[in-house]
Amino acid sequence: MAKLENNQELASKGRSGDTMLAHINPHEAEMLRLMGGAGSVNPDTGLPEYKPSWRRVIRVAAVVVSIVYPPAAAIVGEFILSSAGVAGASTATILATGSAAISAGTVLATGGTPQEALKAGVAAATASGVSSSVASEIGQTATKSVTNVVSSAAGGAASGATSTALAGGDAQDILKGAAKGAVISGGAAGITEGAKSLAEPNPAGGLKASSTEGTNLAPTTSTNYGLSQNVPSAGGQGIYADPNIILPSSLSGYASAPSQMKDEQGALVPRYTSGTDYVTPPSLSGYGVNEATTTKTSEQTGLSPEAQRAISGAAGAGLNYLLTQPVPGAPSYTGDSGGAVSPAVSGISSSGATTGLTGARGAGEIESKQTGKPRQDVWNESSLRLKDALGV
Amino acid sequence: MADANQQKQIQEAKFEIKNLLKQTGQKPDILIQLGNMAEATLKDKALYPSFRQKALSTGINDESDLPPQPNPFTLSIYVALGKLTSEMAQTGELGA
Repeated sequence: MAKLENNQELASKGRSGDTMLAHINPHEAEMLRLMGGAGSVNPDTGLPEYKPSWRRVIRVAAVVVSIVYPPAAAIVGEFILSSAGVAGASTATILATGSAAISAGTVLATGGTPQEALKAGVAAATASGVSSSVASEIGQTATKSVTNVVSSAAGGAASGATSTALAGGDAQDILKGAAKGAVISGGAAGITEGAKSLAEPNPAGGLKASSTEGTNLAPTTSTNYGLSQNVPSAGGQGIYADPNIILPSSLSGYASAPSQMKDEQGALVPRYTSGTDYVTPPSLSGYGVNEATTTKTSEQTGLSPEAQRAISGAAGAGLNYLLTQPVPGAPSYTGDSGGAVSPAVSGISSSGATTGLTGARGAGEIESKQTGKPRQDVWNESSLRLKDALGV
Repeated sequence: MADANQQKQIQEAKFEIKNLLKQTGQKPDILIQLGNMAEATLKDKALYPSFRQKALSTGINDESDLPPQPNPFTLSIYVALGKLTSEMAQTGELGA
């Protein structure tokens, strides 16, 4: 009975109406969560709890804020601008800011992405009648202000606004300064162009874009932008594109053009499956990748033609290099030009294909035809960049 | 005047409020009070710490729901909840 007494003591520490302890399995826990249980951890007992989820209430209340509380736009706008150190803003600016914040907040509260929130925020600001450039700044500032990261961004926003004010800027300039300050501080990272960064090409994971750290906009603000390659050991799929990715605008061209990754019907697909098309990011054009590809491949590398095309297309000559590496157990590539594996690579060698990049010999070990002496360096600029990217 | 869709959204919000109060055993007054405090905080952000402390003390929400820095949109949601709860209490929608 001592155990029971302890359990009753534990049960009494339940919150928000929780009065019982129970043995449940993961399936039952998931059922409770799906029925609206919070699934949080009780701070007193450390046990999972399935009290009514406050967020469920927030979700439905968020969409009625403007209806139930009509002055919200003006009050929220004032709040944000004063927090950013902006004084003397026009009524239009205040309303635009509040409307943007409420629109963006509603999107976030109902499960939207930061990008969707930003879009909604800018649209609401624009609808309020301010100019499009100001609406963009307001939208960004307002969206930032309704996320949970005002703590880190507010300092930057205030700092930016203060600097502009000290320089004699007007209210709108101050607001712009605030927005920029917020961006610099990382609060709006992931949703503003200025805070985006493009990581170095990563041969194992494809090109990767990540936003500045420090934002809590959503866990998805730092993400692979959709081209992560898995080189299968025995054929199969080569490229995976996550349909839920968030693209910085600097990379948006890669995903928005359906021709860059499409299925047999030409539709953008989340997974590369057809092998009839492949991705060639414009930034890799310097590697001289063209689209003339032959398909005599599997007997050379052990990879399926689909996988090889996908890989070649995705990373251009860089992965061409990988493809021409000897594969244990596969017939070796003899350099037969009639069976070129990959897209032609200018600046390396298009006849005899990949001799210089097979990895069979290092760069300085290839003899000069003229002198017979070892060459000092046969890497041209493109191949050096490629070499760095591949880490070879 | 709310249109049909907005009325539906309001009814949905009221339904969730009613469920929340029923399941947590909280009195409607607490949501009304928090709504009033949130409205005051929107006009004077120095009041946020006391609002936050009060909200957390109810056990309805967690610290993750209420960050240390005020979020104006979250505050406006509390205001809306308070007003809806007040309306429900006045019209008898919350029952006995």
